[in-house]
Amino acid sequence: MTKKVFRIHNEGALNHDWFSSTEINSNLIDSIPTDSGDGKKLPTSIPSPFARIDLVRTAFLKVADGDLEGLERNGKATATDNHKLVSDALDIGQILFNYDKHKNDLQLIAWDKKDSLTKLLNGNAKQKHLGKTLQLFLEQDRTQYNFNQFDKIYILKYKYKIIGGTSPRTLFFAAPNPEETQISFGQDMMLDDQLLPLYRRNKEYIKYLYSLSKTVNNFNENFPEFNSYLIQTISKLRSYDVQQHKELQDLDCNAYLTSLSDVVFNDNTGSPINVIGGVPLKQFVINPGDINSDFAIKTTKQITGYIPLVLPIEPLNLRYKYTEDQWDVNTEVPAEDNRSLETRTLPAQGDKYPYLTMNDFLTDSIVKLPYEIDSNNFITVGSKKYLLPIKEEFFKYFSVEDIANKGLIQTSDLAGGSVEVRLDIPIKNGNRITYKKIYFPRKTVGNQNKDPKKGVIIEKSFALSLYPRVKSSETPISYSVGIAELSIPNNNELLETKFYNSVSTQSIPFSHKAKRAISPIQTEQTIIEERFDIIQVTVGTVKNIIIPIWIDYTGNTGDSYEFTIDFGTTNSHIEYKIDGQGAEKAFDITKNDEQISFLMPTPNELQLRLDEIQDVLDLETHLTQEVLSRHFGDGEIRNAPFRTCLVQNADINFAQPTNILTHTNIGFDYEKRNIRGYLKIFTDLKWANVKENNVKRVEQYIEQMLVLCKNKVLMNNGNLKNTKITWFYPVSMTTYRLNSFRSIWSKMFEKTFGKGSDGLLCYPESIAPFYYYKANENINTHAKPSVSIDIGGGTSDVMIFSDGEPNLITSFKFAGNSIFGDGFNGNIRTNGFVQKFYERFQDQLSQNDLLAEKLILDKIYNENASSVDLVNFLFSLKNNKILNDKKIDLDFSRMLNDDNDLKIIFLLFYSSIVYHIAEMMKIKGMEAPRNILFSGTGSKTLSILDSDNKLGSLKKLFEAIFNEVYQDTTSKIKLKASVNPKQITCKGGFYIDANLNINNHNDLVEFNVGNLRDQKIQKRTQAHADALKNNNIDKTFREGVVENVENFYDLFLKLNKSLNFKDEFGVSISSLRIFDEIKSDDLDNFVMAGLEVENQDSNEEESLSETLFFYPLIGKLNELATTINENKE
Amino acid sequence: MAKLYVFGIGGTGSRVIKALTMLLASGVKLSNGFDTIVPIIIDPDTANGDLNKTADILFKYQNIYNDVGTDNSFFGTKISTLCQLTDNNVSNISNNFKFNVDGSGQKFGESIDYNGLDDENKALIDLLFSKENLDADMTVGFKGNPNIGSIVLNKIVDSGEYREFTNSFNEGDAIFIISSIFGGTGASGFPLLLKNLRQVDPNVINSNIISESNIGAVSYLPYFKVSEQHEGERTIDSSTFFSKAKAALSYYEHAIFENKSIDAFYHLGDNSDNNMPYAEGKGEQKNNAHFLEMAGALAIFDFVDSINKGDYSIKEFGIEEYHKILRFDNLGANTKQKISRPLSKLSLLQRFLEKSMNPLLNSRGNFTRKIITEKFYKQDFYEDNFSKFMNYFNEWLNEMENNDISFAPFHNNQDHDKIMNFIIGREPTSNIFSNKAKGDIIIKGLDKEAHSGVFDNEETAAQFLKIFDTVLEKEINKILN
Repeated sequence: MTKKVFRIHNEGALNHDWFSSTEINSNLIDSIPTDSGDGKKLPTSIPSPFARIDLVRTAFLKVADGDLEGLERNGKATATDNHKLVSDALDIGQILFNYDKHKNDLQLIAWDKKDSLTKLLNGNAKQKHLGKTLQLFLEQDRTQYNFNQFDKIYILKYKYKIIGGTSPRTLFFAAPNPEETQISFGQDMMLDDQLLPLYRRNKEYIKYLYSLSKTVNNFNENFPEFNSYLIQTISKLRSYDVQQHKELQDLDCNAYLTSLSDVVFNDNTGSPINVIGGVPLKQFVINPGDINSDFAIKTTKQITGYIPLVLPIEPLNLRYKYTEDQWDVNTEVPAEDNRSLETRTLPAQGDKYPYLTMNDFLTDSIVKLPYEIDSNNFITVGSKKYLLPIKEEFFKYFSVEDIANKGLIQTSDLAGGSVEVRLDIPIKNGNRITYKKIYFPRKTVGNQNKDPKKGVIIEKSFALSLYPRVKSSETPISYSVGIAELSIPNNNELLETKFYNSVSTQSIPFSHKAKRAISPIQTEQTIIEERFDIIQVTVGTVKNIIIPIWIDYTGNTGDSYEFTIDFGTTNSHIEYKIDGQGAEKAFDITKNDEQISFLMPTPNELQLRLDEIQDVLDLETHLTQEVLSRHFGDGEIRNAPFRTCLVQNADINFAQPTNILTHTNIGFDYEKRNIRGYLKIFTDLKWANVKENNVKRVEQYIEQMLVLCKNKVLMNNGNLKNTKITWFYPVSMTTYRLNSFRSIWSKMFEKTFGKGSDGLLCYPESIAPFYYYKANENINTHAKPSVSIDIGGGTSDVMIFSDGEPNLITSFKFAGNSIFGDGFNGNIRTNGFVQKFYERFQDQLSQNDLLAEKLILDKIYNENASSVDLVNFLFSLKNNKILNDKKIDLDFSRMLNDDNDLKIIFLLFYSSIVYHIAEMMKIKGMEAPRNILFSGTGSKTLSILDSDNKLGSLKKLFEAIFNEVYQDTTSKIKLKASVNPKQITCKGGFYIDANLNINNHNDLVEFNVGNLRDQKIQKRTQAHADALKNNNIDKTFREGVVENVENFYDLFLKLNKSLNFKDEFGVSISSLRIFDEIKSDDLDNFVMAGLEVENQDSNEEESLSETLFFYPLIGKLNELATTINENKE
Repeated sequence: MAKLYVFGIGGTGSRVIKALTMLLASGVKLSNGFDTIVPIIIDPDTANGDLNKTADILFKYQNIYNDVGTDNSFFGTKISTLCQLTDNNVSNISNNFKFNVDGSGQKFGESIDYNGLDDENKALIDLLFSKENLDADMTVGFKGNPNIGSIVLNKIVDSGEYREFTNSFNEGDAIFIISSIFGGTGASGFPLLLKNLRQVDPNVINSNIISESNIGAVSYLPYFKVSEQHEGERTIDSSTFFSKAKAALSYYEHAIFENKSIDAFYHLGDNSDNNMPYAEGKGEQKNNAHFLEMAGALAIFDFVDSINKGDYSIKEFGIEEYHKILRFDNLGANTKQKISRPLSKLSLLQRFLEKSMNPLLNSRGNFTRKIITEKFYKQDFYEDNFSKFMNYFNEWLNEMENNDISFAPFHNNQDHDKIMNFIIGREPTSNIFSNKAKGDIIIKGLDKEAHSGVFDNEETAAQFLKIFDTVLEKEINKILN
């Protein structure tokens, strides 16, 4: 006999019939066996519109009574319906606790117990009915659900869909089947299927709920189920997180709540939200300063403000701390965030805090070159063919050294022409966040790549030069960056450059920028006066960077450098000497001290066969011509001495700011390489009128020479402060011109070396050669005078050294150009030398396929139309590297040597000079000299007359001239000349007596006026009372000059008989005959023409500045060459 | 004399009222001065088969009651419609026992004008109700979503019927509410109705009296299952019956029991293996009568008994001895005492009329000859009402027998000769000389009573019923004692 009660629960007595039984309470209800559900199909059998509030209430109670986890069956994680309800409710609470962070995705709606209900009750029948029903439940169930204690239910929307709201009984609850959000806290995505108990949630959130429970009046009475759950949570924390548990025990709950911000409705700070009266909704607004994340960028720079986080865009499955919680591998970080750094909010987490992502660092396109970048001079990665696709932003945090030393960027080529760029950004925990971006060829992705994770490869060919390649914190350096590219019409992808340093992300302004070549090749030089670390190259809209590897000048303790610079009429020369390192030598740039760097390294044989390399090489020659070649000196195309030639932009306007390398530069290529059409050549620098443009040209020419010297010191880590520069001036220069030169030199010296003119010395050109010979050629200078004759292009300078010091200096404009030039009225088409050899050289060059050289030749002939330039070019071919390399011998000197017709010109030239000096020395009462020392480019023609090293024939000739003038027979002269006579001046500069007082050298400058009737030596200084002035020169005076010339002719012809010029020098009889025929014609005319030229530089009241003796000869030598050439067979 | 308003909500409500009617017909009486039952069936599923059958049974009961007069044992308690309670001939009030709940054919969202709501109210609805709730078609009830029902059913208070109810309510009257907790309609209707009853609303006449009145209720926890076949394809899902019941019960705990808004709460349920074929409302929903529905009907009598005892009570129902098939002797003593005699008596009547009609008509005794002639059985009272009610009664008993748990106190298929053997375990001891089971005993008794003339002043129908009552009472007493 078993009794049965009809029930499904397991509580209460067993009795029969209808009997009074046990209370229906939660024990009884619990004893009804159910499966616990999966949280998705929740019972809706609660007969109240507020059923969900009750469901959640029950859920908190059940979970608090059971297991917080919901881990129930066989160790399998099984969440019950109740766990789902609790977790979702806690999610809603946590979203509200972080409301402002996710404000953009959230909306709040307030359902007002009074107003909203009134609206319903005043509505249509259906609404009224709904209102009445709600009212009934709010009233009847008021005590059970605290309906009497709330004014509003706040309803939370996520992306305009309702997800939950405040609950007057459990603080929060979720709507039925709320959509999963993208909001996560730590690894917990809100409202997803993963359930999370409170004790494993954000610490601040726990603190907040705990504080509410401790401070709100009657919390347990109003929220008993939630409070039970909280108590369970705290108890669980005691073992789960001791620290947190202790923190809660010690927490000043009132203070903590006060420290939180209100959640406000409609942005109205006057409307804080209450769940029920006295229970405010608070939110945690993290103080960005408190963020202490593993992802904080590990910058090597000082940054102001909050340290940005560097977040991975690929799944990162490592236990890194995000802001509060561990990084969730599923957190999605956009590859690109278009908000400004300050306004960014952290992905998934929502805090307003700066973070960085891939495209903050990597550009959307990468520039690919047809060549491999020179890794000696520039930082390269991977296959070396790419510019670095790094944005300016990167350098807010890192320096270029970080790239170079830490290998932060790498590339690897992929199949199909793509390239992967890996950028590593160091973060606080010592690791790096790696961004990988694949750039695809433009043809595969097109121009409209929208995927921020992909990039585009832009192929571009261009050449880039950087000059100089040295950096220094000791001295300012002016840099020139050259770009050359093919200019394609209507192509808007021409390059632009910007410069940055590692300190600031502001671009460094350039001081000058000029396009030099325009079309078809375009070149641009930019001058930057500050040190920079980064060259940003813009191709169209694509910005990539190039990072130079600088030679670091630490200097000022290194060797002392001394330079001597001979700024000549035709050629200029620089010698240098390093203290304690042997003899002086011609300026050079070797492999060890290259001053310029090019983006493309010197190609090897194999590369040279490639068209694209050839194209770049062609671009590079433009830059070389505009700036400098890698190497310079012996065995190179370009070497010293070099032509005194400035090239300038065709469109240059000196009225506007101009600069070396952007607007002008030394034409090292002149007569060696074809000077491109966009550059205009100026060779007349030294003696050109002292006018604005000419002064600027001279300034810039001198400046570039000084820059070469400075960079030489810097490249060799020499002592810049101790650097000495010696320059020379011709004594024949007017004081006005000389003063002008002095000021140019000191101005340029100061500009280049940045200090006073202490290291700048100058000497007359005339004295230096003597000191060279004295020091190096073991000559006797004590008993008798020595005569040093320096024959340049325009002037010949003579110095007579006696009694242990320079005694007399004289100078005249009778020099190389007097032989090869066009006299007073001639031109290139009448010039005997040119006419005789031009066609011959044309043929030779053509036959030997030397088209570039032939082009230069024709250009000089047709465009410059300068006989001197043309002849200089012919001379230069002997040492032309290209001809030498091809073993082609075109020796103009030897041709002249073989030409007996023209030899008389040279003989007349030297004889007249020695005659003039002898006459002068005799007037001065000097002994005949023991030594005659030749220097200067012009003196190269000595070998035309006498190819014997010891110059025996000339020695005889000169001794005879002195004997004739002195009416003596005892003259014994030692002749010295050099194969590199141009260099002698510079070299001599190093040996001039330190004690030599050169300040009053003008007192030494005298000249023999050249009048046979009125023999007179005149000082150059104007102070002299009885000095001859320009306006003293009358017809009578001129006749005296002509008589002197005729006197020389007589002596010359007399010596022909005694020495036999045909035998001694190979002078042809026909040429002697022609000379004899025309020697006296138009001599006075020539004197007048000479005076006219002289007066261009001075006025009539000024003293005469040189002898008039050579004026007739200048005209006559030119005429003679023409006539001889015209009379040839 | 007082009235008891019995609200039967949903299918279970209908079936318990049916059981109540059967008990009243068989002679179970209310105590405590209650003489009238006002059954009110609330079911938005107006096509529900259970509902319509119950309404028909009530209608026939009324007709029988009206014809046989008061103070009978059989059909002795007055059952009234709301309409019959008032003098006013109010239009739009159905003169039956059904509450009209408007809203069928609509979706829940439409019924509350969801699309026309202002933003705040719309948001609140979205917060409280799922999209499935809003889209639920309410033609067939609330499909286990009492949260919807709690709103929709509240229309009853706006109805004319409810007004009739409140108007007719007098002090001393009481209310009893029948519902199931695990389904749709009942679960939502009960607390809702209760809240309305307890609400004092100046606009509702007598609401002050009603709110103070005695209110009892019986709630059914799950006591049957829906057929397991095709599970997952239907909206009513018996596997969630228990969890729904728990959730609802948990709500009751707070919303009803804690504030003692009910005077007596009866609850019952069973872990039965009993499957009902699945039917989603409408005409198909005709569930077999169940023993526990009769138990629920008995709760009404118990409630009436307990009124004015001042005890707030929760009650459960038990039996003395559990078997899969129940006989009278297995029941609790009170139950057995209360129902065995009336049920047996009416059952014997039903059997006799079915099995012994020919012997009766052929007996030519006083009863047939003088009082209840053959013509009587062709007349409206008998043909349209009484015999049909008897059929319902027989069907009701059969259904309870065939259900699980089976309530089977009677044998089946006895013929006239053994008719008195019908109570299982109470078969009269017969011998070859005296067949105590024979129906002729009853015929003799009828003739004897007819001859006595005690009921001669009664109408034919009353005579018919009262004579049978007297005779069967004696015979049943012999059998049961």
